[in-house]
Amino acid sequence: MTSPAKKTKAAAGELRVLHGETLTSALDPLIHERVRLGIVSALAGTDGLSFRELRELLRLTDGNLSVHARRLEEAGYVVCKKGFEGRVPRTEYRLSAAGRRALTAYLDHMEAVIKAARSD
Amino acid sequence: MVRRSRAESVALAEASEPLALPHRAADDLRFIRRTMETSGAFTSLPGSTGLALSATAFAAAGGASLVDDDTRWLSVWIGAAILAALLGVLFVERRARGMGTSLLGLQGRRFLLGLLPAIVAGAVLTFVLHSGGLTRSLPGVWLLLYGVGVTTAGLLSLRLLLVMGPLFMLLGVGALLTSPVGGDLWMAAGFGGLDLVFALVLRKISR
Repeated sequence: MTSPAKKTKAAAGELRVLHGETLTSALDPLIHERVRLGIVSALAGTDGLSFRELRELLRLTDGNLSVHARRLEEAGYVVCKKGFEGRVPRTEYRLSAAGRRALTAYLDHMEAVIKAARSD
Repeated sequence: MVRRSRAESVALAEASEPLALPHRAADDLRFIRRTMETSGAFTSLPGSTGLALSATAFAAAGGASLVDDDTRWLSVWIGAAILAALLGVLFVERRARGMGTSLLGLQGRRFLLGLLPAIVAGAVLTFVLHSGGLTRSLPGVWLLLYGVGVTTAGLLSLRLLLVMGPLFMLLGVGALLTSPVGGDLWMAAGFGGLDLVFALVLRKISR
């Protein structure tokens, strides 16, 4: 099993050897994009959010949110449920297990990058 | 304007990336933490709280307008404030429990911390102004300070509060300028009307 110190050193090595482009490409591009990172983070802090709540929270336009939410849905990171509340249509999103794992992996990666930079 | 070839641009980007990436990483971590906290706060403020506060305020305004004595008038409003606070705590706690969090979780603490200084200042000024015979100036002071508290709480949680807080402050200024007349109307407009609008907007957004 790899120790955290070894992981940090490995990340530092990655930083030095691979430079920016390769390291960036090692990141999950779906989550690395800021709007999608916001959607995933917002959903991670709740049991689920409606389309309007997400739009208000992240200060996005309808179109922008739709496009990014669809990409996350296609990747299986987000589950979308459409229904009605009375006669009003309601679209609700929640983070899937795969989405939660992807966010955790992204957080680990970012923390490793910071540790690597500090150890340099 | 300096025009760079694609190769030069890529080289520049690569050179700056090792320095920029740790900054981006730290920024991302802050962004993730803030977004998660804000989304938690967003869903912990049920619209029913606003409806309960609004109903309490309208009832209190009606009751207080029938009272001439300053001390009894003050008792009506203090009683309404205590009832509204209890209802607020009850609704938010119920919602938080339903979501597996608690009232005094990080967001709850931040929200209360934002509101608390204004509430304490309001309590002190209530005592001082009532003792000095300026009881009927209190609606303006209460609305103004509540607006300050809501605005501060909005900086830490829901963006909508950043609109609501200044509106309370405006009503407070109006109440102070017309004092000692019309205090109950200003209170009804603020704690009744604005809370009602806020509750309806919150309900609409959460659909």
